[in-house]
Amino acid sequence: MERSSTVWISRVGRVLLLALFAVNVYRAATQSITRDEAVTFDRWVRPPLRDVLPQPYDPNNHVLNTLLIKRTVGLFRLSEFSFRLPSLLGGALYLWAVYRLSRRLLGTGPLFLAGVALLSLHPLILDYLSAARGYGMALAFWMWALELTLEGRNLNLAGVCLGLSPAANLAFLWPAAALGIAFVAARRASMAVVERFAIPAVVTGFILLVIPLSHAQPANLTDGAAGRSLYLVPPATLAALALVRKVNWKPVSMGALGIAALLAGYYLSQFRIGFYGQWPQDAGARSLVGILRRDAAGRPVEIGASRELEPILSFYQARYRLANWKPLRRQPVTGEFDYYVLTANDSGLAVERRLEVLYRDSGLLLARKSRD
Amino acid sequence: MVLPILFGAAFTVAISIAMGSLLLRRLRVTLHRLEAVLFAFVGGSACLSLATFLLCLVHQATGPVFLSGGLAVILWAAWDARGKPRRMPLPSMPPVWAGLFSLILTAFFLAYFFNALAPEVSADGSGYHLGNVARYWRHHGFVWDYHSLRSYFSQGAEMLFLVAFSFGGHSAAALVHFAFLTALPLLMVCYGRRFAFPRAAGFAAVLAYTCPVAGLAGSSAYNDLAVATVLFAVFYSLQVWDETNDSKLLILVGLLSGFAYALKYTAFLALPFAISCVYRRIRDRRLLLLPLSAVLMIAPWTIRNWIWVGNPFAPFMNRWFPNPYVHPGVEQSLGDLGRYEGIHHFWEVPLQLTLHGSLIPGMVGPVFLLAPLALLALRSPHGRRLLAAALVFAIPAYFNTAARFLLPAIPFLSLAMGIALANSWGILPALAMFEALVCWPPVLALYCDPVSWRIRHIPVRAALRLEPESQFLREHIPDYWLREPIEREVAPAEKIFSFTTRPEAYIEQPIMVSYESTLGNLANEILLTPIYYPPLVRRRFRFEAQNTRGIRVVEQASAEAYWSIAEMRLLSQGREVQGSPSWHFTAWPNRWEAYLAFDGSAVTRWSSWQPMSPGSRLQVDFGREERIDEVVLEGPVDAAQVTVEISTGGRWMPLGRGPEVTRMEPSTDLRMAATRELKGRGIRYLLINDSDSTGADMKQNTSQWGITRLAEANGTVLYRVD
Repeated sequence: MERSSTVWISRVGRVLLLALFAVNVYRAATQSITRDEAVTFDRWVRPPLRDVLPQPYDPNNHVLNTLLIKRTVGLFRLSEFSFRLPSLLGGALYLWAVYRLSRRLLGTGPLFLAGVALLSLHPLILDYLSAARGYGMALAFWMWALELTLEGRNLNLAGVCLGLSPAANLAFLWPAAALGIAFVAARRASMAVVERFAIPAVVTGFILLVIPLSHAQPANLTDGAAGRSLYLVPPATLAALALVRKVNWKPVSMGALGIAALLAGYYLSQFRIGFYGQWPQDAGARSLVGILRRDAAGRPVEIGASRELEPILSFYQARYRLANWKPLRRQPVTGEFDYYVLTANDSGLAVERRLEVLYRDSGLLLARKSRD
Repeated sequence: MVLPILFGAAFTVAISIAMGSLLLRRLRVTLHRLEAVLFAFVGGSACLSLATFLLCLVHQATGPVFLSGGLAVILWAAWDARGKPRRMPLPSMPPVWAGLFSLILTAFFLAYFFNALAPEVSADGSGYHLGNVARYWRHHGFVWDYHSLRSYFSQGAEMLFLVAFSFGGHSAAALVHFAFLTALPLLMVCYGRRFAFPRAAGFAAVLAYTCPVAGLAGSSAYNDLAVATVLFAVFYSLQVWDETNDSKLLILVGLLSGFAYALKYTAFLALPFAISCVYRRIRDRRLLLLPLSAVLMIAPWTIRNWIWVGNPFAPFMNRWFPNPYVHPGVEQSLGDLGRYEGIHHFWEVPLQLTLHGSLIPGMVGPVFLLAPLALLALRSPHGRRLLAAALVFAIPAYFNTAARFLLPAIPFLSLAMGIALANSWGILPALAMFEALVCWPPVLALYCDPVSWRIRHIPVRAALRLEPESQFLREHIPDYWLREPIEREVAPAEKIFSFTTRPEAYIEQPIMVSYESTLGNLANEILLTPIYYPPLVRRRFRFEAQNTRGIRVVEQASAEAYWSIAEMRLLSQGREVQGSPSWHFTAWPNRWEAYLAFDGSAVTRWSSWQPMSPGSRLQVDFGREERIDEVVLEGPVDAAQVTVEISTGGRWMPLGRGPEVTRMEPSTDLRMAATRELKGRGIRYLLINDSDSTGADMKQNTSQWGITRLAEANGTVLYRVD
C-alpha cells in the first residue's frame, strides 16, 4: 500500500514537472519579447563582441546567458523561441534538479510532492524558467551544485555548476560563494574538496567572467542582488520542508502540507500563461508589431517609440528583417514620425497630435499620423 | 633582404649552441637530449657574449671575424660530437598535452616570429639597445669617448645582438632575442618532464609564452626574455645538481648566474640565490666553484666600467663611486621608476597587470589573477622552491614597475600554479586554452586599454620586406622621418642634443640626451637657463681684506633642491680679481664641474646634483696668496644659506658676517649665450620636440637663439646652431 502511494506521488511529481516544462516551451515560443529581454538583445546579443567587451560592465548583462543566446540565434535564426532557448534549457535543468533534490531531502511521500509544487510553481521562478534573463539558468546551476555536493559523487561537476551559476547571472555570486564556502567548511577544508570542488568552481566562473568583468566597478558585484532574491526561495523551501520531515510529527506534517497546498494554490492563481508577471505591459508587443508590419508594408517608415520600447522594436525589426523601417533614432518621441509606439505614460501624445490609433492595450499604444 | 636577417640570427644561435655543446662536453654533465640542446644554447650564449666582449675590447668585432670564428667553432663542435653516443630522451609528455602545447606554441611562435622579423621599432630596441650595438658595429668595438648612462649597463645580450647585426642588421638582433623567448617554454617543459610533472609544465609553458608582455619584449631587441630564460636555466641546473650531486654542474650554474648579471644588472640576484641554494646542501670548497665561474662573466663588465667611468656599477652607486660622467641626482630619477603613476589603490595593480595595461606598461595576462592559487603548491618541495625563486626574481619589479620586470618571476609562478592546479581535473587545459585565446593579439585588443604596451599586429608583409622597410619605420617611429635630413645636414661625428631619447639605432650621429650624461645635463641646463633659471639672486659677502691662498663657500641648509651657483666672483677694493692658470677649482660634491661657477657665463653653473645638504662646498685654491675683501655669489632663487671660509695657514677659517642679498636685474637675452656655450662644447645641432620646455620658444624666437631650422617632422625640429 505504502509502496503504491509512493509510486503514485512520484508519478504526479514527474507529470507536474513535465507539464510545467511543456508550459515553458509554449510560453517561450508564443509570448511577446519583454523590454528587459529586448535590452539584452539590443546591447549585448546583436553587437559583435568587439563592441561589447570594451564597454563598462553592466550588471544586466548576464554573461553566460548572453553567450548562449548569441549561439542559439546564430544557429536557428532570431525568434522569440531561439532567443529563449538557453533559458528554456536552464529551466529544464532546474525542474530536474527540483525533482532530485526533493527526492533526496524530502523522501517519497507527500512532502516530496509539496516540495516539487512549491519549487516549480512559484510564479517568479516559473517566469524565469523561460524568459531570457539568465536568472533561471543561474538558479538551475546553483541547484545542481547543491544536489551534486549532497550526492558527493561528482564534486568536479558540482564545482563547475557552482562556477556557472554566477556566470549565468552575477546576482548569484554571493549565493554561490556561500554554498561553496559552506560545503568546503563542512568538509573541514580538506585538500581533496578544494582541488575537486572549489578550484573547478573558481576557475569556471573566472574563465567566463574575468573579461566581461574587467571593466566592472565594485558596486556591480552587488547590483541586482537585493531586488532579485530569487535564490532564497528554493533553499528556504527545501530547508523548511526538510525540517518538517526531520521532526516527523504528524500534526506538524499535516500543517506544513496544508500551508504548502495553500501556497501552491496561491502560486497557481498568480500564474498567467499569456504574459510574464514581471512585464505585463509588454504582453501585446508581438500583436502590435504584427499590425505595424501589415500597415507599413512595402514603404519606408520612420517610427518614434517611447524610450523603453525602442529595444522591443529593434528586436522585432531584426527578427522580421524589416528593411523598410528606418533605424530608430533614439530621440524624444516628441519628434515627427510616421508611426508612434507609446507606453501608457506617453499615450497622451496620441490625443495631443490627433494620431490615428491602430492598437491599444493596457500597456502599449500604436498610432500613426492621421491621413486626413 | 630577408635571407641575411635569418642567416644573422640563425648563425648566432648556431655558434651559441656549438660553444655550449663544447662546454657541456668539457664539463661532462649528464643531460637528456632536448635539455642538452637548450642548455647548450643558453650556456653557449654566455660564452659567445664573453668572446664578443673581448673582440670589442680589441676592436675586432667585424663581420669577417665573426664569420670565420663562428664557422670554426661550429666545425669544432661537430667534430667533437662525432662518434659520441646519443643522449637519452626525456620521459614523454601525455599525447593530449603534447598536441595542445604544440598547437598553441606554433600559433604564437608564428605571431612572434613575424614581429621579430619585421623592422625593429620598439622604443628601447631602436633606442639604446641597438643604438649601442650599431655604434660598436661602426667602430668594431667599444666607443670610449661616447658617454651615456645607457651605454654603461652590462650588455651581455647586446654582445650577441652584435654578431647577428653584423650580418642581418636590426631584425637579426631581435630574432636572437626571440630565440631566447622560444627556448624558455621548451626549457620549462623539459623541467616538468624530468621531474615528473609534465602537465603542469605544459600549462606553465603556455602561460609564459602567451604572456603579452613576454611576446612583445621577446620579439624586440630587448633583453628581458634572455634574462628570464637564463634565470630559469640557473634554477633548472640547480635542481639537476640537487638530483645528481654532480659538482661540475656548479660551474655551469656559476657561468649562467654570471651571465644573468651580464645580461641585466637586475639579474644579479641569480648568484646569491644559487649560492644560498647550494650552501644549504654543501659547505665545502666545491661551493667556491659557483662564484669563481660567475666572476668570469661579471668581471669584464665591472672592470670595463671601473676603468672607463670610474664606477664599476655605473650608472648606479654614483655616490659611492663619484665620477665625472653620471650625476647622482640623475641616478635618483632612475629610482623613481618604482612608483605607480596614476594608481590610487593597491588592487588596481593586479588589474592593470592582467587586464588593462594602461597605467603600467605591459600586461602578463588574465590567468595570473589566479596566481594566489599557486600557494597550494607549497605542499610540494618543487612548489616551494619555485615559489621561493618567483619571490626572489620578482624583487626588481619593486624598483621598476614596468610589467617586463616581472618576467623573470613568470616561469616560476606559472609552474607553481601548474603544480597547484594539477590535481583538479580539466583545469590545466581549460586555463591554458583560455589564456592562449585571450592573449592572442586581436582578442587582447578587445578588452585591454587601447594604449597598453602589446603586440598589435602580425606584420607579415613588413617582415618579408614586401612592404618597404623605410615605410614601416616611418609609420612606427615618428623620428625616423628626420633620418634623411640628419644624414644630409649633419656630419657623422657631429653631436646632436635632444631632451628625449631618439631611435639611435637608425641615426649614426651621436645623440646627447639631456638626462643620459653629464654633458647632456649641462646642455639641458644651459638651454633652460635663459627661460626658466636666469641668475636672479646676488649674495654679497663683505669682510676685512685678507691675504689668502684659497677661499670657499659652504652650504649650511638642507633642501630637496640642488644647490647651484651660476657665478662666484672674488673682489678686492671693488674690482673683480682676475683668475689665473694657477687657480684650481674644486667642490664637494661634483668637483668636476666646479669651474662652471668661475667661467664668466651666466648660462652655465655649478650644481651639487644632489639634494642641498650642510657641508657642501665650492672652493678655489689660488696656488699663491691673493688679497680678497668681497665674495659675490650669483644664482637662481633657492633656499641656500651659505658661509664663506678662507684658507689661513693651511686651515679654513669662517668669516663672520652673513651675506647681503639683493635681487639682480634680469639679464639681457641669454638665448644666444646659451647656444654659444653649446657650440663651444661641440654641440651644433638640436633635435627639439614642440612639447619640450624650449620647443615653443625656439620656434618663436629662432633668431634670438642664433639657430636655423633645418627640418621638421611630426612635431620635432632639427636646428643648427649658427
